[in-house]
Amino acid sequence: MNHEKKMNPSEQLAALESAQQNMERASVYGAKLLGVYCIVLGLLLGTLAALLQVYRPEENFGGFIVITALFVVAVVAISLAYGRMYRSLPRGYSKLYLRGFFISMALYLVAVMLLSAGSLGWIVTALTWIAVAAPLCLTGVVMVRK
Amino acid sequence: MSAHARERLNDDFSNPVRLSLMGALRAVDEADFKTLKETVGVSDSVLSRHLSALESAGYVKIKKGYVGKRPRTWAKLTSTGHQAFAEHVQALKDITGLV
Repeated sequence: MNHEKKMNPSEQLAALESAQQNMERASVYGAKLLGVYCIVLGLLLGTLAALLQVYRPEENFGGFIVITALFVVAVVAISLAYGRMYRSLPRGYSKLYLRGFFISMALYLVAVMLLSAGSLGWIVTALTWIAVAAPLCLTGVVMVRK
Repeated sequence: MSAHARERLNDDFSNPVRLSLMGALRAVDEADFKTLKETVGVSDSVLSRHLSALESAGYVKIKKGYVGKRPRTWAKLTSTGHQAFAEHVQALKDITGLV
């Protein structure tokens, strides 16, 4: 291939379309990778929010510390793994991820505020898990399936 | 009277490698050097040279970092790059009669 050869407008458009298609194919891997990351992070965040309802810091401080530490280790581990495997991301996926992340985080903060309301039963605990995990997990499913 | 479409073509994108690079980067939020190299089908040195030229013109933002001990480079279009390239592509379409 002659990399410096001038192209006419039609050739430029054809080359442009080809480059975009090649990159879209290449970035499918990036979409699936971020999708899996979102699902795992959502499940971790949801699990943490639910477990905090069970192991309340004022009732079981040791359990609270262990759960929080395990969560931090798990998030660091999946983030490092993601960073190693990450190569490219389809256009718009960063915003999609951030939207899911901030909604999940907002719901997580609501779950933390609910801790002060006392023990709310296993149904609320289960709902908390689902509500916190859902935004990131759904975002991840959309990314994986696209 | 508006200028003819050929006068709206951007000389910075007339090179085939730069055109392909801009087209490839337009499809992603960000891509690493290896992905770009495979997508555009050029050598490391050619890719590096053209990416640097696009960065100097303000069309591309290059980020360097490490994954473990290995250096890695990522590139993304700037907002200026998005706009300039969209205008170039529109001019190409106007010239070829595509809408």
